[in-house]
Amino acid sequence: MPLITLHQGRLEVGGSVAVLDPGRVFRTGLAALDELAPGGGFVRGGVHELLYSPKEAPPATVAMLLARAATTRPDAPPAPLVWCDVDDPPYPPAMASAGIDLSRLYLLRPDAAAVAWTVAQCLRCRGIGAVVARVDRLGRVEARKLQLACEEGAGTGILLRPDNRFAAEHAATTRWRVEPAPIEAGPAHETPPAQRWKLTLAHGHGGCTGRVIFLEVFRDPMFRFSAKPADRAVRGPGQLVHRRASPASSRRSA
Amino acid sequence: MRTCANRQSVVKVSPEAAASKVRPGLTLAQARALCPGLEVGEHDPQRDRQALLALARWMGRFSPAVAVAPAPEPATPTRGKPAQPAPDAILIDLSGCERIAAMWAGESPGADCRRPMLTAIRAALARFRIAARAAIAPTVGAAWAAALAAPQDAVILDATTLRRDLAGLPVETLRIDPDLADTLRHLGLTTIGHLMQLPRESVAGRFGPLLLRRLDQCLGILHESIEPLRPDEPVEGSMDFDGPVDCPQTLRRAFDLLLGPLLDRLRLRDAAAREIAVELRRPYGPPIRRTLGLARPSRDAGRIGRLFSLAVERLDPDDYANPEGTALGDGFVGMKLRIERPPRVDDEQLTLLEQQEQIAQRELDDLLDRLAMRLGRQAIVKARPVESHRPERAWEPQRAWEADRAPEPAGRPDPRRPVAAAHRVRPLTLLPTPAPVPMMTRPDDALDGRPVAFTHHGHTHRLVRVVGPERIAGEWWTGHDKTRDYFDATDTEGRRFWLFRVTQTRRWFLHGVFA
Repeated sequence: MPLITLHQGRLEVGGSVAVLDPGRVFRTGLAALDELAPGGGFVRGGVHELLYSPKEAPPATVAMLLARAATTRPDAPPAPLVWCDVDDPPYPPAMASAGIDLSRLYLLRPDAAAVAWTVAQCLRCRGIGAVVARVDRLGRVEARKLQLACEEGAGTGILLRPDNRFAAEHAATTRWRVEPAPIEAGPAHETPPAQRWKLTLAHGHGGCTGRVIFLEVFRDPMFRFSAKPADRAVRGPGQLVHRRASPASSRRSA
Repeated sequence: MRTCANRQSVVKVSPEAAASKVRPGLTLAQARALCPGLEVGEHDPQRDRQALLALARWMGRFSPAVAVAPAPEPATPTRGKPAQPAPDAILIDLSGCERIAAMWAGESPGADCRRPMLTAIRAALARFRIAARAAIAPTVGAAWAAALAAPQDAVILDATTLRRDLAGLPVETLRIDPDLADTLRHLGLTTIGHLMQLPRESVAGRFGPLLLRRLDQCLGILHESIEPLRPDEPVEGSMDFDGPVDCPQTLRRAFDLLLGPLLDRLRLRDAAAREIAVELRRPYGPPIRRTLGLARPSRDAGRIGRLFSLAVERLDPDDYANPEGTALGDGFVGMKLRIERPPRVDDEQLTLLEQQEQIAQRELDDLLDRLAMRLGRQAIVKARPVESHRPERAWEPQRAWEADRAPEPAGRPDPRRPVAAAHRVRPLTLLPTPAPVPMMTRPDDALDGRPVAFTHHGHTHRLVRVVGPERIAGEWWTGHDKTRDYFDATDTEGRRFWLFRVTQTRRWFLHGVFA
């Protein structure tokens, strides 16, 4: 007898997930990334966390990629985006270059004690499309509050969290570990990407936890992204050769 | 009808009742005896005055200068005599409004459009079922006299024939005390023309200066100006508490009680609140003042009340300290609200806000209000692109408050505003000030050297891919004459940096990180 449950707008039948309402899920347009996300896309009204090493800068580009996808609406101007940071905000001209509408962008700078409150308020508001926030420490109760606020409103929460001792507490729908990855020398006829990140799905339903993809951004044209799974290697133009995913290979490629 | 102790007296009568000889001053019993089917209502002068003010504001569509007639001044100051109530009259200054009148009448701007204007005003009043007399004249006094004298027809007086037209009007129409009018009538001076024939000095000497002034104002000899209603007149109210109150819930309750009537007054004026100044009076020490600001005008008491609660919760503890330095546990003894510059909001606008597609916008406004109250307005900004070559000057923060208040017209982009430079590679993380870094370079034929490795925060980054330079000249006209050569460089571990070298000094700086 199949087990049917309804969870955050998704109909789950016997473990396989069928998307009930396409409006509840947004896609980045990068097939490899979307396929890895549970349900074939990122859930709206959910918190998605990007974990990064405290030694590195917060992965603002990946957050912006998700925020841009979350706020894009098919036949309307983009939904408002809130970027919340206790330090300096991201550089707005770079965001404009990446396709963020500055007139729909609100930059918040709360004090450290008010970050969780501010993010919860923004997530609860139905007028906000997505909230990106750098949160250095978050308790279990606060994390749960954020998730509930997300479910109450319609927006998407994207939290940038350093992988410190507080990072174990979360209530996120998906968590991704983001690390910079060196660019390997490819075939001579291919344009090398300008930058590459290694994304590991650290938490998420759907059985893909631990899978790794590489996200690349190209210089020309600006902010052209590509994502490819770590267990595939490009041999020639248009040919994909499957390779067994193993920790050793992913370490080598990283 | 006015009730004073156990006496009910008639204050005003309708024309139908007046036909049955009911007149002001009679008791209710006498009036009922004269007219058995009399319908009476309690006289509420304050409400009447507010209704008149509302009507005067509505009349603002005919002219920007609309005033409510002030209370008449007595001819001679007498003690013990009750002051005359203000007449129910609205004064409209129509000078300069000919073009609008011509537009209504469909005539050329040069034509005399006073008649269609007067017809339009009377028709508007008839739609409200308000019985009114109206007249257009060169002076306030003449218009007043003409309107009072000819209740049925709409009268228009010309400046050229003013004296002749006024001569036949009764003296009661001169805005004078009824007692004085009785005296004049008793002396046989029944019309304004009779007064005009008298020597001026004898008029002033016998009947006081007011009569002569009214006559001069009527004839245009003495200038008379009207004090138009200010559309953004603040609305305020205050409340004194029986005892000190320090409980936020009680303060909120008092705030709601005080706010309700103010919002009702705004509703009469088709206005809404945008800034509410709250003054909490303390028994000792100066009052605490807070301003509740709304991103968009609103008459939603709940929304404003929530902002007040946030403000009360966030009262600075220092505010509670009295000069002696001891904690003030005495609370507040009074509250005063003042709604500054209430902007006009059409009812249609508020109705639209209720629609589904506007709910999100309304919630966003509410959110911004709450955030501004908790974090301060300076903590919520929007980015405005600025035309500047220097990357750190290419944008400026603009308070979301001001940015949303003055939305730029959609459609054609402003040519002065720079379009987002899509072709330029810029990092998302820009350091507030460029950090000087020691750089190792290798010689290059075309350049002064290409970056190879640099050290930042004790960590050496070996660069494997370097793209550049992108030369950005200094803004010499602002005193920054240094030229920068920017490089987009990636290190061995995949980190990407934005570095520049000052061509004049050859010093290297880290300006941003592509994170």
